[in-house]
Amino acid sequence: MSKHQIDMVFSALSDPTRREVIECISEENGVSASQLAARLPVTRQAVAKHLSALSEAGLVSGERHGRQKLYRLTPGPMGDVMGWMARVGAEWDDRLQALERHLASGEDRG
Amino acid sequence: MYPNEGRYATHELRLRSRVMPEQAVEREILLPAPADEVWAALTDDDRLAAWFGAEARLELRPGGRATFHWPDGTTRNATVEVVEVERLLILRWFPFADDARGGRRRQPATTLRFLLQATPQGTRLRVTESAPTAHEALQEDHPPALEAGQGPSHSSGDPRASAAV
Repeated sequence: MSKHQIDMVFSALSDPTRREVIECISEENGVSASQLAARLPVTRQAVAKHLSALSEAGLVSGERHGRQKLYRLTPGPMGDVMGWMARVGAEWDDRLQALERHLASGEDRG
Repeated sequence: MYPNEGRYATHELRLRSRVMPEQAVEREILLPAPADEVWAALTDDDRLAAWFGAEARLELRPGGRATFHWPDGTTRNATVEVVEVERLLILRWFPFADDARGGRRRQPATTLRFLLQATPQGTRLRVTESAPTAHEALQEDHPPALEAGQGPSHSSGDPRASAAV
């Protein structure tokens, strides 16, 4: 569980183009930067920058196939994000129950 | 549960994607108390501590500091961003938490939003904790919220030193 990376993953996911890059990658079993650039309204250089940010956050991994580097989605960080969301959600469930009890026990209510 | 609700807020947060996890947690509850009472429970330090799970100190004004001390020694700060009495409170967490031994660990700088709506049955409270937007994430690369000289590697003997303003 790489909990410390959650902020990096959120950071990487916060950019709309990077989210599109992820969508595109998820639809293919290995896709190159040039293929992504052909499908997205951004330059190949921009795609390369986004891929590098996504790799750093651990969201995608690139593997060399001959002269091409093919990118795939790495499921781990997405799972971490979902785990984080579930934890935060459970925290709020507990807190809101406690808030409800707190309000119910208030005697100064009119 | 609340047929008129969830139409906008939930949908605006939901990404169309199949692969992308949602980046916000949202909860809604109908509280059997008037809005002024709920507002007090959210903003009065003693009352907040009674249900939040942490001791709280809140400077209730935009730009004010909110400090939370958990029983396990963890301290987290937030900035108060929006205060609309009995209607809306928005806080933004600092991108780190301090532990009892002065260690600091990174945390997502999520935004915490409390929206109150008075109804005949009581007060509807919607809580949303959402991941930083692109704009906020950009700011995080150069965190203005961090006081000078208090980088993430900084550790003082007193973990609460950074919280005391």
